[in-house]
Amino acid sequence: VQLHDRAAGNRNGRGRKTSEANKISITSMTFMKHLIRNTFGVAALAAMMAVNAPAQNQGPGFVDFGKFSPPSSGGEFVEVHINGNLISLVARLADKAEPEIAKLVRGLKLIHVNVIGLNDDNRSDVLKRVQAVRADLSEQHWEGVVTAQQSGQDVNVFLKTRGDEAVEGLVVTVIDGNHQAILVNVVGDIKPEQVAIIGERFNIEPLKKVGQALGKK
Amino acid sequence: MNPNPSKPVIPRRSKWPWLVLGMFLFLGSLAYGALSFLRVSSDTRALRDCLLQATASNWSKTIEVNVGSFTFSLARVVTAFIDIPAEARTALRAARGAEVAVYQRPPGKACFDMAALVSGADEVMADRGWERLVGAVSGHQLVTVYVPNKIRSPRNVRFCVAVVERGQLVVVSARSNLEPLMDLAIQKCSEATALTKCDEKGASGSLRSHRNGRLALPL
Repeated sequence: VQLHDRAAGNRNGRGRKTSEANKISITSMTFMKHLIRNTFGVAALAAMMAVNAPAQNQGPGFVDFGKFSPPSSGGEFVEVHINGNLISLVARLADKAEPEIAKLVRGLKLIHVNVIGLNDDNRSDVLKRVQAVRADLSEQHWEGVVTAQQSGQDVNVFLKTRGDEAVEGLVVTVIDGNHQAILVNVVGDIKPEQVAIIGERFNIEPLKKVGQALGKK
Repeated sequence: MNPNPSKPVIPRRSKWPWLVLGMFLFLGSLAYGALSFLRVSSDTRALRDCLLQATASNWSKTIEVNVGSFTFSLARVVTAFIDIPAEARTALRAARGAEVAVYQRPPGKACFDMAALVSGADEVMADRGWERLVGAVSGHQLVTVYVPNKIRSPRNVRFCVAVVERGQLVVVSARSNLEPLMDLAIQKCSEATALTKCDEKGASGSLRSHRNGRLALPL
């Protein structure tokens, strides 16, 4: 509209005032263009950040395994995703009766489990992805605390620790022969002594050992 | 001057309109209550419809029931005078409402695309503010559990479960107070732990007495 007005003004020969006004309008138009472009740029950046935000909000111990789908032909597939909302609910419930457990649970932010049955259709793809996850974790300086290969089972456990204070993330990857692959990610702020206390409290031998091992580290 | 002043005549109101209205309201609420037993909530309906459409089979309704908090309260009052197991009483105390929809189809060898079923259900429920907690496929069975994105209070937690297999589709939605259930779980867990510890002590005790050369057989 402004361009059209300017052209019309020139044609009519309205003089200096009109040309100055046109200059101002052109400057304001350029400013508006920049403003719109910048706004769009900022909006796009914000959108991109928002897309990536869930991964970062989950904490440093979060690992994105990617999306697995149940095999169309009907194999085994389990996906469990317990987020912070539900975990804090459980912590609130356990607070009265078991404050120690509540404290440990409150430190958790996410529990994600994938169990994928392997068949001819998905085997190579899933195995590649598990290997890629392991390679990524090693690159990102996660500590491989368990590496075991026995009778077709291939187990790896990685930990992300914050100094000696706490465990921020735990990843367990299991390839059970040609049958299934298991991926587990626990994100939180887990104190080793709490794990040991829970192990003692409920007489769970593996937890006792994990707590002791983490305490020694 | 008015030699014969008469009192103003107040028209007598009939009680019949009120009685009829009251009766209508009573019958209406009764009918609404009866119908609400047979009508599931919109979230359950959405999940059910999504699965029915995605499987594209000739499903026929077996039953659809919606039992609300009033019925559960009534059940709690009634069972207060009956001797039932403590666990059952706790479960009843926790229940706030339940809906069940069961559909069946003629036996056949239909193979559903489980990936499509799960992603379709996820999409529908995500639009309504639910997220999938568990998704499990085993052979031709699918089980999904959804919970709301935001759970405000442990006293009123909703969840929705869908089970699909070749011949049957079941959608269950329930509202529950988790506090008594959690108390029960912790109590049972503590009992089990105490029992295990006792067993271990007993076992180590018998081992020690065996080492001492005494007979340590359980009587």
